[in-house]
Amino acid sequence: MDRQTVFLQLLAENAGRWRGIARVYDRQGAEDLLQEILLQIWRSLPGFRQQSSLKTWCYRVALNTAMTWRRSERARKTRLPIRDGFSPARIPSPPAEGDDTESLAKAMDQLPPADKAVLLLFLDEVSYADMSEILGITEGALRVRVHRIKKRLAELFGVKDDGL
Amino acid sequence: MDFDDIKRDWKSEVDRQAPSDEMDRFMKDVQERYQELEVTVYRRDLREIVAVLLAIGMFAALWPIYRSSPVAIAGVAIIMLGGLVIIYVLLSAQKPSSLPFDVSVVEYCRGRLAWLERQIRLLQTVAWWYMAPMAIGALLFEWGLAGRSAPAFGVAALVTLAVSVFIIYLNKYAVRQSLQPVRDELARLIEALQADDPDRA
Repeated sequence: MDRQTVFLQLLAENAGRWRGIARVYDRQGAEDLLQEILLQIWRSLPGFRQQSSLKTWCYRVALNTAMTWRRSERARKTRLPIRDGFSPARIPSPPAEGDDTESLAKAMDQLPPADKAVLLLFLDEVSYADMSEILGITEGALRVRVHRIKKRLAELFGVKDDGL
Repeated sequence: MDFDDIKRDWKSEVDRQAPSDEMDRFMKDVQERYQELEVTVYRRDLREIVAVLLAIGMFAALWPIYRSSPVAIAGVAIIMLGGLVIIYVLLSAQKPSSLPFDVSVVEYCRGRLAWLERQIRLLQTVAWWYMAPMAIGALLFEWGLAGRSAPAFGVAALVTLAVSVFIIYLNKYAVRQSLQPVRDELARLIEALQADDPDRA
């Protein structure tokens, strides 16, 4: 498959996930961050060597882009203006204020960037082995981290973890 | 609120599908932006080279004015060599766009941190690899041209030194205001990512 076909396939499968990551890491600038994530996915695609699954690979690119977004001088310098007729908002429509993702937003707002990434992967039911590959930390450390995040959310919001 | 609510919210984010009729147009937009991005990076490199080549060309054009002064010729030679050193340093500095995005988050952050530290070192030493050859060359050039006119040389030297100090200050300011906070934040992020890892180095 050529680069364009793979990208379109990834876009169809992950558009919502990438938008979600953009919204978690920069709610105000989610459109810009989503645009940057898509650009980095497109740029990085030729380097995909099938040593990991495409989902894991996409997560790495998206999280690397999102987690260093505020820190990235390059991103600010190379960000391109949105021209007429183009808006990443079209894929897919952003949820309105106070919509059904309020619990997620409330929980994420209380977490530091590293914990947000761990919680996102955990909520997406990514295995600990894949999480370890994506984040570059050991499975043992991830289990401790997940436990700590659950505990923190329980303290903050009285969240019960029976569901997970 | 419980974990089921949070999980359901995330699923609802993930399940939002892109409208299929927008895909082709969207693909085209991403490709265009990618090409523009590559051109932007290329233009930046080109601008640095053109600026130095223009300076070299300008001094070459001024040859009839200073050809009788060995001191001015030495100054111009230093400026030209300095220009080549500047081109080499700038072009050999790794561009941020060359950092791979598809490595693990910790690995990517470490790579980015290392790049930032190199950038900080580069800007902190700008007095030596950028300003020193340019300022020394300019002072010799001005001295050679001024001949016996001490006041003319004094004014030119003061302006040269003032511009040099200002450029050095601007670079140090950029390090303090822009790069160091970003570096510190990245270091904290790496620390936070590895906080629970018993095997961390």
